[in-house]
Amino acid sequence: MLNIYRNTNEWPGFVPFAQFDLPESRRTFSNLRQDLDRVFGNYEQSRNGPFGQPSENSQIRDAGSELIVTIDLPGVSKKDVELTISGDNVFIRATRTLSPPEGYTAHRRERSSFKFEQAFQLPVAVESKTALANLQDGVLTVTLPKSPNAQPKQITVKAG
Amino acid sequence: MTQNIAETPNTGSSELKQRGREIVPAVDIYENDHELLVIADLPRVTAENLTVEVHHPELKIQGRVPSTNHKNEVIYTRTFRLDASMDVTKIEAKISEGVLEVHLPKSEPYRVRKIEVTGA
Repeated sequence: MLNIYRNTNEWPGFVPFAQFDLPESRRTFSNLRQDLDRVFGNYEQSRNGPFGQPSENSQIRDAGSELIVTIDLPGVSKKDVELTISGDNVFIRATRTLSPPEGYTAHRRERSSFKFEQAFQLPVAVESKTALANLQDGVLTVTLPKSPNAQPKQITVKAG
Repeated sequence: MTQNIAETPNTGSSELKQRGREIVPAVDIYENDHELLVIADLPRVTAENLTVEVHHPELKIQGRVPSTNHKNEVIYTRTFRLDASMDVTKIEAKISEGVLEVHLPKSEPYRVRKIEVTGA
């Protein structure tokens, strides 16, 4: 029997993990995290992702001949992003400094300034020289071509 | 502080649950003598996938991040209830760098005016 909790009010003190089906529990955690993020600001983002995991706003995708890393960075300008690639390590640092618009009174402030730092190891070697980074619509997209050895190859299976 | 804008919680349509993931975007609300300013973080949302609607008295912001796989589609939704002090015909919205700004001007009678005092 599966218990699925859709909001934090229903959250029981302790539930054995075995009772969760994975995608749903991840969703529950992510909802909970969103609520927490809103209460505490994106405090966890200042280091890694929440709970030591890669943050939810970043994704890495294998597109065959290249790896594509995307990170949500709304309101961050180009000059506040720093990207370092060395070998199969990628380090990304981005800062957002918000100040209330002049002459306005704040009613609600959920958006926060942040310092985002994330270091991760790529699953394959990449050609850092031909890597591309683009910041558009509040998203940083880093395209990392795989090194020749890591390119996908098709092996023909011979019948013996 | 005036109560000219209040939040309406998301209801989460069943259509949405099937299709994708709903996210409540972080929002700042500011006010000055002439307007309310609503600022929302909507990364990946472009102008063509964004709707800002007023069904009086509600202001609804909805941004969609399309995906080839519908399950991965992300929908940002936030709804606010406006009171009568806003001139809904003059609302302006723009999105840049994944940040939406909605300017809601106050209607004439609600604007703050300084009255010059003349001496006799």
